[in-house]
Amino acid sequence: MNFSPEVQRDLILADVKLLYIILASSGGLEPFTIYRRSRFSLKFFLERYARLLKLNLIVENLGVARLSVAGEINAKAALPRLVSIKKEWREAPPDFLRPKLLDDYYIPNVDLLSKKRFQPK
Amino acid sequence: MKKEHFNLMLNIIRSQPWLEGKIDELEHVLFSDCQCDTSRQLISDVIDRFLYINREDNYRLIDSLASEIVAKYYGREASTLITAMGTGSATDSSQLVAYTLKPIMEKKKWRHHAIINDFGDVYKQYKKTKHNQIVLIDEFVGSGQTVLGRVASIHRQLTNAGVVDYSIAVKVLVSTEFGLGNVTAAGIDMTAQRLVKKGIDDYYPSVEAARHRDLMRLVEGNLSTEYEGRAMPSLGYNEAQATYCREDGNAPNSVFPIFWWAFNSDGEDRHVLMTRAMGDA
Repeated sequence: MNFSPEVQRDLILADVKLLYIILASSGGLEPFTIYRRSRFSLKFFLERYARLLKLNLIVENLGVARLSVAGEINAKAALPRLVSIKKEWREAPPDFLRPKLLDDYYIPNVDLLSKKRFQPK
Repeated sequence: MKKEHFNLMLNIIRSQPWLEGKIDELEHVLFSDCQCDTSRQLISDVIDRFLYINREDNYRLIDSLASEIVAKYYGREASTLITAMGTGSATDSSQLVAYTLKPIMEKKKWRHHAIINDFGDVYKQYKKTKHNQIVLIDEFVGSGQTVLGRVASIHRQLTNAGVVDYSIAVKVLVSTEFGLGNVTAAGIDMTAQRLVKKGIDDYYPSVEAARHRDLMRLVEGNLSTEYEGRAMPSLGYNEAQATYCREDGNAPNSVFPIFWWAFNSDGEDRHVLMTRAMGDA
């Protein structure tokens, strides 16, 4: 993946979540609203939020928090981490793929069968 | 947590970012020690007035204190005696300042001065090497009482031994304006790299200040009144109302005790924003 130089490499998931809460809002939010939506503890929220202010990823104006340009870049760059659009690590490499077994006999997994219909003795 | 309370905390963190790691302690002072929003606002305003010195700032202050000594005693290096304000075997931050100065003076090519960590040995040093321009150094001055005592004691040491040709100057990193005023009023030459005001008296007209002092005493009602025979110094030792905190530092007792006194009125440990070794509270 290509990161633009403005993307911070040391943001933890919680930071990204805070940025995303603002990104997903229309414009800006009061810090208190971000705190409530994050469901973080007060201590944890204030620590992370203060850090994002210091990094200038969030800027406050008249009591409303908005993303700076860098904040928006970071929020968007981190979208995959948050909403899992595509988890590349989850894709099987082509070498491991075989034709699907369609007309073959098939042994079912007993744990996955309905307990009612297939009552084990 | 109510929105106003959240915003109060957030504003404090914004003005004093070093409290970022002390959220629990801050919450405790604001919402357990304080019973009303007026006292919370006072605590928040007082915190806002604090001078915070981190490790780097502290080194820079010591370096500029060194430059001041070099400039003032230019050409008189061989008679300059720098001494920490501490005495005896008790550990003291003045000795930290003295020790940190040691290599800094070398960098400034000062090699013939003397530097000692016990002001009680000034005469002993004088007898040995004839250094007679004494510079008393320390980290912090609160009410100035200690300084007055130290200077008087050096005068006694030297005059009792019949020494007349000497000078004493006091140079510290940080002082309250109140302390600096007390020391200079006694005719003593003193400088500080940074000054702090009284956290309450210097910020309000006198009637309002009295009201705020009462409010602070009310909040201090949550603290134990004494520890091992030493009284809790209400509003700071000698009511100095100091607003100073150094990273890793042992809080001076002239700082408002609500921020460092370790025990509540039931004798239990409190959550404190600043640390002071209670052994010499």
